[in-house]
Amino acid sequence: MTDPGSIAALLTGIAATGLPGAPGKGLSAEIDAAEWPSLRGGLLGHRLTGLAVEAASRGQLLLPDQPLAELLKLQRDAMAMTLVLESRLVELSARLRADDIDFLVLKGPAVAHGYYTDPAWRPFSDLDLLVRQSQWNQTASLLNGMGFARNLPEPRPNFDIRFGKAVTWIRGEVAIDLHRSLAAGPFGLWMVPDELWEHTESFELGGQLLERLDVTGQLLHACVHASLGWFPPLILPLRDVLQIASESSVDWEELSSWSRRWRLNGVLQHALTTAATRFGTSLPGASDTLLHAPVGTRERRALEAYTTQKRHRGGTAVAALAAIPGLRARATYAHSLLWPDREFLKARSSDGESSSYLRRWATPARWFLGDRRGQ
Amino acid sequence: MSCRWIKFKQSDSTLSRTVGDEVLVTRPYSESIDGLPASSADIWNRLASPVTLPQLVEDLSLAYAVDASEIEHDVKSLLDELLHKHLIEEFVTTDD
Repeated sequence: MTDPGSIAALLTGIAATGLPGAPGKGLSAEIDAAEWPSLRGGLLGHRLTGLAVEAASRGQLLLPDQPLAELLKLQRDAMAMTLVLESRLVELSARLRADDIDFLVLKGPAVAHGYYTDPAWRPFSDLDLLVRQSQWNQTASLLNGMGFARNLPEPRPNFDIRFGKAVTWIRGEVAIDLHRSLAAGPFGLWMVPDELWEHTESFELGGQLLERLDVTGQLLHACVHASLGWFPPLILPLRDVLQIASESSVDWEELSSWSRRWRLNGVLQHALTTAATRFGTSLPGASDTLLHAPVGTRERRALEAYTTQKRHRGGTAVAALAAIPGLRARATYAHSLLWPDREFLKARSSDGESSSYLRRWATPARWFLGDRRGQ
Repeated sequence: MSCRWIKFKQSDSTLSRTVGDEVLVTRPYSESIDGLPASSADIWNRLASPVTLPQLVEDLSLAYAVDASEIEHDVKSLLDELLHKHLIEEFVTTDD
């Protein structure tokens, strides 16, 4: 069982626990003590401890006593972290409201509550908030005043607000990804995030009503996150896609409209089909139109920058460059990445001290030379 | 004639997760997380809806087949602790 293929299949089976439309009788696995360390690593890495506890309670995942006790401890630690984050979220929401800053809760608690049967099935390790572009700087000032600090400086002034997706702010064990858009690179530039603010709903947390994207917006974001967030896609984001897609209230026509106008057809198709294939489920019939929508050449190339090995050779930055309208803006983007401020270079260096533009240029140089040799 | 009862319920502001038999519970602005073991977790879950102390004791007495007098003190102690931590709230209700 300890070979990577078996572990991957087992993790997928665990991730499918309680999934609407999951095939057959579901998982049936018995793990011995020698196999536990491999499984433990996978559960932690993919944040599947909650679903593993549920699978164990259903008798679908049989563990010896010691590993079971360890699993419960891991889940306890994960849930303690989510409670800390939810506490801080409620506190932060009061500060944002006091400053008249609009915000939407993304991912994590916005998905765990109301979509999953039990929020304990869906751990998260940070908070994600979307704010309006017009209130980006005001929100940054507020977080700064509350003692949060950016994990990285901006490459150049105003880079985030022009080209960025999100910035991570950290205070102690709490990390907040402050989003300007839902996607990085070209897809983030093609989207019109402000349109999403017309598609929100409330959910209750800690006695407060917070705003999040409605179910259709949540599905859009889940697909974008699953497809573009990691390569290859991670299991829990794929489960999110299927979990939300199973909701009967998804407006597939609206989703198709966004997808067409924001050049996300390829991204959504990739996320939906990857998730369905991975979990062996079928997709709702209403998704057919979206699944067969045309994918333009620029869109396909941009997607390849995320879903192939190009991702690790600077492909996403090149794809973003191609999507930026106007030569002057492209030049600003390229200049910001190739000649960022020294503070940015220093923060990105492995030892936090040395910084070198030559080292910074090594990746695009390798990419360029490798690309040319490959021609 | 109307009777006045003190009822208890989970505070609206609490945040909680169930892990196995245990319930982890906290609230915004709190620096601590309480872990309620199985028996306390059962009481916690019963406090999702308003309930009086006598009713809660009677329900637990039936569920665990123990004499009400044996558990009343422990139940009241737990309610006092949860009240002190603002995890539950008490209110007076009138039944006609």
